[in-house]
Amino acid sequence: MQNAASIQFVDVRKTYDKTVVLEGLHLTVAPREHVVIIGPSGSGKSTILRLLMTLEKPDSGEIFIEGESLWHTIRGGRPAQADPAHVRQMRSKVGMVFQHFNLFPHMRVLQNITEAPVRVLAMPRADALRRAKELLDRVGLADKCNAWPAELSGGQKQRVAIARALALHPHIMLFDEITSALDPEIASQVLNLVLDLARQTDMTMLFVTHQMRFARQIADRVVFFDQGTIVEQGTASQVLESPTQPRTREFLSNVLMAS
Amino acid sequence: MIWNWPFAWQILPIILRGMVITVEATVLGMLLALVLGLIWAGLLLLPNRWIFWPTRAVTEFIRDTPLLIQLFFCYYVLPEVGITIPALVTGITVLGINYSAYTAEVYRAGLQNIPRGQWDAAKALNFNPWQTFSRIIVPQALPPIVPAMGNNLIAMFKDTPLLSTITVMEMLNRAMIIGDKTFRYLEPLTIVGILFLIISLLASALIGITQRKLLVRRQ
Repeated sequence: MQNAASIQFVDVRKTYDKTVVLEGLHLTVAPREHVVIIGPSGSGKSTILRLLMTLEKPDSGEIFIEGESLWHTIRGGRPAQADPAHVRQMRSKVGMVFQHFNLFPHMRVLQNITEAPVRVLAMPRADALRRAKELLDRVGLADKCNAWPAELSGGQKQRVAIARALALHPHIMLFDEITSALDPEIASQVLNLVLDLARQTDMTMLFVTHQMRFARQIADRVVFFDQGTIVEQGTASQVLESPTQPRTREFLSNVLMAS
Repeated sequence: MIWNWPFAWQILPIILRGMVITVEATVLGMLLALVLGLIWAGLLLLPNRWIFWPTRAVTEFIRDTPLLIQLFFCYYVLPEVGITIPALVTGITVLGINYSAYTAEVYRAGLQNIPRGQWDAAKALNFNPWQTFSRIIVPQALPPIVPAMGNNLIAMFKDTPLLSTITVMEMLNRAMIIGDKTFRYLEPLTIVGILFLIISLLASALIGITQRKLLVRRQ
């Protein structure tokens, strides 16, 4: 079971200062599965992604990626704290796209994409450039190679950010509210791009989003998350159309009223 | 007292030779302050209190003791324990270390202004800590702090006359020696003052240009 999973959270707890964000989280994601996490703001959804990206460390519990623990290794037959090299090795399997894009403002678009392959993977610059141009073409921004991030619209920035994450060939992609900072029309363009990506690649994908229509289109499974725990999960039609839990129903009616 | 032009022209080359030393001390001292200050600021960013507090203590100590005493200590006390360093080298080193405590604060302000998302993105792309610092964070932190660094540079430049107290033959020292010998202080001290003014104005202009260049490049 453990070896078959792409991602596995086992009894994970995470607190900030004294606020409990995640409590006893168990979540298993299969290879190539597309899981959408929904839930109220501040419910800890993004923390799940940040933990996988090693931007945060759990207080307790274990996180496995492709069967290997993120933060622990076996040394001399005993479990031990993983060294930075192990964490980096694990991190290389995961890519992430952020709500606020987080492009590097001091680098042109092309360099935003090539910098990590060249520095981190030690890829020859010519190869990195070729690959970056392919990726820019794929996200529809082939003509923006030499632009500065400040010259791009929000939707264009997010597409560059997606290309930048793809350039490192992750097995797992995390999308953290990637359209929350965008206008609805621009948002659907970005989401369509992600839908294509999901159809054409083998990556395991985790989404945190408020876009229910997108969730229905992309999700193999929808997870409703509230107050640090999973309340309900199932296929998109199960969770979004006939939820069994009162909290899920309440949340969904609030979302529908808002949109 | 009347300004004596022939005398002024006669002593100008002597004082200009002192200016070379003044500028040399400022440039080398500032280079040291820039490098050392970045190291302090980097150490103060590390989430380790065994590094943070000793670093904090060192920079605080440097800032809370007078530069003149630091100079005297290194020039007159260190030889007593067998460490003898030439006056100019002592002067440059003490200036550099002293100002590193101030440049560290400027760097820190610049680094704290970098949004957390930049650190997150750097980590998500698997840059190691050194690559993150040198390729992502520092290049963004530098342009906004150029004016504050420039102020430090000019302040250090104006502190170089203190080196005359440890026998460095910079501008003021030469002017005073001329005055002591000829009993004319008006011309040498005026020349020194004007030279300081000219170089300071040139430096501020240069700093302004540098900052505009750095900001334009990003848009």
